[in-house]
Amino acid sequence: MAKTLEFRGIGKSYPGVRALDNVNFKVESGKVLALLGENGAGKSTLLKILSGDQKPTDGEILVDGKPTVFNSPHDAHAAGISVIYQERQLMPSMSVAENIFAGAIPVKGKGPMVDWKKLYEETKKLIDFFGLDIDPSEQVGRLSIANQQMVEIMKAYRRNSDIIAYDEPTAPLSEKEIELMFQGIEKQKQRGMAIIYVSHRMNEIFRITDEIVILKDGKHVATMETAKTTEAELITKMVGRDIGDTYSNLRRNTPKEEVVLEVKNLNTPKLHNVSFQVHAGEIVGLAGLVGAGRTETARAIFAADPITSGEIWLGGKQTHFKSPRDAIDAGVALCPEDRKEQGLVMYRSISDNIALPVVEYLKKGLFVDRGIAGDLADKAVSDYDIKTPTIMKLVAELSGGNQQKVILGRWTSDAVKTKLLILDEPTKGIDVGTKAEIYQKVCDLASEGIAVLFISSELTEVINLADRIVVMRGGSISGELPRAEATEENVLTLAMADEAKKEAKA
Amino acid sequence: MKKSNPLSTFAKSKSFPLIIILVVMTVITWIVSKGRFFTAGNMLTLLYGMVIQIIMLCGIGCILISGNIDLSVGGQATLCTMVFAWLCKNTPLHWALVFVVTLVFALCLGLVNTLLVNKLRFPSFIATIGMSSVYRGLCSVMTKGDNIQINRQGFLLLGRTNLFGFLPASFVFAIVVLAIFQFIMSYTRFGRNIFVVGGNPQAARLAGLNPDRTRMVLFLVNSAMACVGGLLWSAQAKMASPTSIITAAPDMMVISGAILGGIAFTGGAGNLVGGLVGVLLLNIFKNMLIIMNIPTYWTVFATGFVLAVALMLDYISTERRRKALLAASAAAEAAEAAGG
Repeated sequence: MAKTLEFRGIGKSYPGVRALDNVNFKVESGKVLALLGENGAGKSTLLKILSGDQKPTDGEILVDGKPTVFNSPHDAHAAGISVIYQERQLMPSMSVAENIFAGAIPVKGKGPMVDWKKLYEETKKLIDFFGLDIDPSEQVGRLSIANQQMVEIMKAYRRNSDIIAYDEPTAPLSEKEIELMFQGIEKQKQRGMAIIYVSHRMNEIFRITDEIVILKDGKHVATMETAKTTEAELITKMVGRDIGDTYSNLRRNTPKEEVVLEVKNLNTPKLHNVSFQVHAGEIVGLAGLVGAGRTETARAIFAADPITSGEIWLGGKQTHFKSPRDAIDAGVALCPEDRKEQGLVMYRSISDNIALPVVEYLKKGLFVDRGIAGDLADKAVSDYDIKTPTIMKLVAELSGGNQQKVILGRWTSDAVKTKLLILDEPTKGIDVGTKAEIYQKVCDLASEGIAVLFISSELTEVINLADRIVVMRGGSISGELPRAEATEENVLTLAMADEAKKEAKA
Repeated sequence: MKKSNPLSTFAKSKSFPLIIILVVMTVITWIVSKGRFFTAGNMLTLLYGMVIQIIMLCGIGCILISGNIDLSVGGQATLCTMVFAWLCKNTPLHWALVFVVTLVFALCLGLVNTLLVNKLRFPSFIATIGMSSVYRGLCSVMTKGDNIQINRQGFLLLGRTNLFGFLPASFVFAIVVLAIFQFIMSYTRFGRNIFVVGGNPQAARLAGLNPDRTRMVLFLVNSAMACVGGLLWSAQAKMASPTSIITAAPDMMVISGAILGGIAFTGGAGNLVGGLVGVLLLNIFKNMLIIMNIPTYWTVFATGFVLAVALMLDYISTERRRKALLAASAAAEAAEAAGG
């Protein structure tokens, strides 16, 4: 049983990005280690390396002191390592028992026949161990999300892994189930397993972990004993990076009084009573952790997702958008989070992509007027300095930064009268130089009177660009910070604060 | 803890409403046909037509459940019949030996499909639709479009031996094969692994299974089934034709029936008995139209219509269940929030 796991000098490079750099830490048998860091700090990459899904560029993983190379997830399993991902790896049409024992279904003797009795008995034992009320023969697809997560956890447990990594396992669980899971982890500790626990929830980290490793921008910044630290100290360690001249050189403008967007008590299945305002010429940053409801808010305003209740006012008039088409016509523009999937038509030209939302208005009789579409594209290319020989080049052949500029160009062309520009992670995967260009452009657009809602997981970016920051947590607004009070500590405190503490403060 | 009993599980399963529809439709057909449905003649027409479909269902059903598809079964079956008939005509070999040789040939075709999907990483849809064309082309090339007569009497017996005067022996054989396949799918580790691979390939890989190997076995088995199905068809027709199987499209009937019977097009769910019910349903419906002397031109339309309606109903019920689940979990969350 008892095994230790050590990361020694682990580094991982992707083209143009250094995702992990010289990460060193050790997890002892019978200990729970928390892996903490902002979005994009490199936690997921590290787990992918641990699971054998990806190989590190540098460094090595030591299991029980021996350097071990994982060529596939199977190798990692063989070494006794299980990673429980946020995305569940289940077969919805199969039974609970078969999901838990997938790949190792008990058979009668040596033969090919499945030993159903043993399969169900073993599953029942696991279910009882976790104190759950699930029928082993029930289809997994019919279970609640929380129970599905428990099946995932039982799966790792069944494998008798010595080393288990949990990637935000409690996100879909209720209080009662979290309690059950923690008891399970406690039992795993007693059995001498080494556990890595990734979570943003501070109370959980303080409750079940022994040690905390903090990652920041792919670098290992600190290892601390949980008992000897505080929430404030952790947050300070997680933030505080160098802020270059990028932001101080921006030409800015003061927002106007006129309210462009007002959201009142917006509710959707994932959002609860979201209310805020954006003024003309103002850049409002929407901050929060992944899953806090930022993208959902953007999509609800853009009518990409239906709303359950609440009001959205645009330019002093209440809106009743039935589809993104209505939103576009009213002057709302959305640059979505996933530009390749949701923002662009990859195998069409720059010109076609820019004309996309206005193509209906560019028609001459039955045909699209290529001339006007071309003029729009030419203007966008020169406005944004898009690096391309011709506007007929396929968007798929452009770099990420230039692709993003094409989307910005689309929404700021003369043919679209954008009043509200929603940017969802506009600088994701974009190099520093282009980022600076995009920041300046966003400021310029604000100076022209456009209201900007800027969503980003990069705190430095939001804090330095936004005139005001709205922080979300768990589908609700957890607070608002004016520019003067917008420090990373303040934003993170709001983004991670637990309900109880928030009430205590109020 | 709830105890599930087999009967209530069956009543909840996707096949159940379909079986009801099947019975109702059979009764209606029986009534409107004024007794012409349950005649030995009609039964023989109906059941002989289904032999190739049921044999093919065994292969295609498993492939669908594993999350793949093979659209070249019709082409493979035709090519096998042509090869068999050619060998029977031009060599003195015993037909049983030729049968075995053709079966080996079929496995080679299956290997080609496997290579395209496993090694060259074509999606199975693309690979097999392409190969389907190749196989059909080869059939036409072999005889410049002509049929080849088969006159090996022993072989032809396979296509005309009946039990009790209305039950084709080859139909009974097809049902037995299907039962064996269903048994393997339900009760062996290999069978269950097919569901795992089809239900979530990523999870299967992470669980240490080898989806490529499973796919290879299934493609080979499927080709063998296409061959057997095709040859039984030839035994009935007493010849091999480069076009007849393709025109009758039993493979399309099988894929439609399988999906109608609850085998998920996306893999991971369903069973062959359900598929059989789906195939039966389509055939009886078609048979009903024929008995009622509705022009053949309409039967294609009507069959398609039934299929479209059935798939729509299936989609609606799945959506409803998904929504109910979502609502339940939202209610649970709300209760949680109110309590805490």
